[in-house]
Amino acid sequence: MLNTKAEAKRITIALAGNANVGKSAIFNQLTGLNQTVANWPGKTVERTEGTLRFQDYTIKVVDLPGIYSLSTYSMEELVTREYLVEETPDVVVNVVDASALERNLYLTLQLLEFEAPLVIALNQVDFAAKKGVRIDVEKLSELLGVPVIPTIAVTGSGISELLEACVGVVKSGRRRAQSRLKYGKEVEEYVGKLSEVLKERAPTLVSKYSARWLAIKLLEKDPQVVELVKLEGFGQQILALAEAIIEHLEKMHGENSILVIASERYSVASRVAGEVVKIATPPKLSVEEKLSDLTARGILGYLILVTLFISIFATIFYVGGFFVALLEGFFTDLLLPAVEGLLTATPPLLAAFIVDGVLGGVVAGLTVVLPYIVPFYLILAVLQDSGYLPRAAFLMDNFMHKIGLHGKAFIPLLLGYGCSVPACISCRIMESDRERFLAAFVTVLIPCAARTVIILGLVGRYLGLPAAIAIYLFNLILVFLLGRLAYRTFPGEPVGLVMEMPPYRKPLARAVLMQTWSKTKDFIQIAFPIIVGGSMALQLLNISGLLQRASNLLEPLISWWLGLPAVSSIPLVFGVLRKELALILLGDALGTFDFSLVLSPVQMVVFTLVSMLYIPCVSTVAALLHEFGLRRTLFIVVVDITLALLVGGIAYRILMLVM
Amino acid sequence: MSISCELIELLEIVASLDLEKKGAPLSVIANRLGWPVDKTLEKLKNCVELGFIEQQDSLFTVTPKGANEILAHRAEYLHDHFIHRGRGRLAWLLKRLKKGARGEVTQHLFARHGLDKEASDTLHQSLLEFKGQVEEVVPLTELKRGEVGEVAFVVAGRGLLARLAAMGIVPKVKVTVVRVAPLHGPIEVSLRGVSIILGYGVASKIYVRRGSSA
Repeated sequence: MLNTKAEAKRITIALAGNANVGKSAIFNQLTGLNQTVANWPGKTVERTEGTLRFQDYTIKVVDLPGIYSLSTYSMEELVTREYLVEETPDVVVNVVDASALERNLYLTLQLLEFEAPLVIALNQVDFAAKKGVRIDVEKLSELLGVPVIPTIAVTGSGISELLEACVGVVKSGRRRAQSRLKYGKEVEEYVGKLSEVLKERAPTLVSKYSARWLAIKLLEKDPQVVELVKLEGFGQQILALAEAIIEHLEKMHGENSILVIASERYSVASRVAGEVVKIATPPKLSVEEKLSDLTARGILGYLILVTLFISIFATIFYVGGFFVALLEGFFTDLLLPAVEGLLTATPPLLAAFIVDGVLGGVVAGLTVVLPYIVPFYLILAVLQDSGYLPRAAFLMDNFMHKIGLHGKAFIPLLLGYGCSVPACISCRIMESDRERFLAAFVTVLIPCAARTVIILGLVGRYLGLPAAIAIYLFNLILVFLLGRLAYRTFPGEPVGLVMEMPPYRKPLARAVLMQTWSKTKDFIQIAFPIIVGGSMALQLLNISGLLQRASNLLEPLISWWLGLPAVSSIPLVFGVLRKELALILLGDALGTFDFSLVLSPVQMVVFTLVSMLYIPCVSTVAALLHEFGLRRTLFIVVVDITLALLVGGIAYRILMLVM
Repeated sequence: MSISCELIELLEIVASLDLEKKGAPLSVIANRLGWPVDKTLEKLKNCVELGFIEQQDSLFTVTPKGANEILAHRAEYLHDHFIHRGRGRLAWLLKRLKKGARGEVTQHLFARHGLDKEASDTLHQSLLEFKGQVEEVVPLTELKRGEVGEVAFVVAGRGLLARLAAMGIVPKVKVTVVRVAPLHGPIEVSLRGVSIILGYGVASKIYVRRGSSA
């Protein structure tokens, strides 16, 4: 492929590396705020891109997901592989954690097998130095055969040298890095033999992928590469040869060929690490480690967990509530009357449509969701950057297993108490598609801040705090039971917890703010169009009178089955927009906000239960659609509505006997 | 019919000494077992009679029948001690294994212990090729805080094998238990300079040799 002169100045750099090595920090240093977050096509894995100018190059930087290996066992790995193959970046920057060189080199070696045009960013050299680890950078570069640049991402040290090295790779015109590192003699012999055959018998494949990489992947029984080779004319022959070699290797080593190859890589990694790492001082128990010990151990760990999260909720609740009041005051007292004033000339129906539908939607999003979400994202970013979340997952793994999920699913559940939207999106951290969906399924049942308003505003206020707490506990039991049920119903094996425990670090304000900003932007892009659209559609139904008819149809269900006042059907329908709207509209419909005058205690409980459980709000549905597609979203909606009606009806009948 | 512990120990030692398939001499075998030479010879003859060991000149090798005996013993041991925790259908398993009915054993492991075909194949392969005595290994979940273990084998399908390998857990690597959560919670181990959390289920599939030195 020949580039035109103008295009030659545009280059693409991809950042690859393990999780928690400071990859995103390097990305942020490179691109600043000039970045976009999107999804990889067809995958729920984030794709972050940014651009920068360096010398006379316009450089596109792609932040690949954090991975540990180039196999096909997670979506992140698949995405990375596809990207490297299909979009062939000019330079691949492998971000490596200097304090854990040996394990990080495992991925580096695979990138070298792939013959990617590699530059190593040896990151966190300061942190490594604190642990007493010094690395001979020149020696490492010599051994790996690629440039190695020491960096400290959080301060930006080494970044321009890194860019210099990348440009150097582009100028040299080497598209494929050649490494002198070799595995054991026996394995190398087989890899050599297999790649010769591949070069001879599958030349088209070899023009796209490195023969050495294909050969090694065949020996690792990589399902994707096996499929690729199968399509070749001599595919069966090549596969037969590979199988014979695998059988021989497994017989010799007495273990799966996957492990034979992995062990080869580790023996090279540990040899390289051994040659370049100098441990200056024996590491002693640092403050971070002591903290780590306290927060992930026994009863104290759980106490800290509970205290921390209660205070986080309290903070979000009060800070969010403060801004809700502030913004609502602004919108309902100033903006809406002003707009209504402007619209006096327009037909009243159209005006109502614009005010209640379009503006109402925007206001709902701005006043209800954002004030809770932004502080939530902020705190989340701090927790994430500091490294506390894996410790929480460690403590909660046990409990989460009871509902067929592992410790990591605790994070979306926790987020669910703030707002279901980011909670649904955060289900991405789960490994398999099945786990992602199961986590989302239970997450939407967790009462978010808006539902908390109803629980506290109705049951809490009129029946007392113990009753409100009982509702929360009941909700937890329900989540537990449904989680178990779903776990048993959906086919597939549960995935065990395998997760790195990063050391504690001091979170940096800049990184935290950037994360919060990009997540908030993401949320606005996903949820706002749907909130506004949904609100408009509802107004159309209202104006056309269809809503009235629908609620007439619903009335028997509401008054006979749930025992609620007939007028509560419309508030419940509107509650889809934003859950706490149900309470406000109920007050409107009943003509008073002193609910004790018009509702019996049983009715309060039933109303609260129903609005807590039925169909997640429009924004959540939007997030679900975005993450799981139409079919599964419908499934969740139908299950939740059924569940709400069932629970509401049964609770009504039981409570009537008791109270 | 079950053979004695001593014979199994002998078989395992001969198998582990017999790496090059050339056979092991009597003196070395006796030395490794710490038995007197005459006792060792007597037991070896015993095994030869049973068809578990072959003698060529002064060298002893394990026959396929003997290897099967070792496999049966190891499977029985792991099954009773760790997989089934003594509630064993051990006699049943043993009988089937001796008949070579691997299909049924696989079925048992799948239905009763949630091991899929791939994982139980791995188990068979690992047990067949394992060098040393099976009594030396325990699941990682048996280790206490601060203890060190050397990974012997992992009983899992290739998905988990590869995920663990990517995190650095491959045979022969030394892992130190950093923390154990109560009530069958996860385990934190450190290896190759990093800390990794493993769920109880995952950790129970990793078999290690208990080590003393850090």
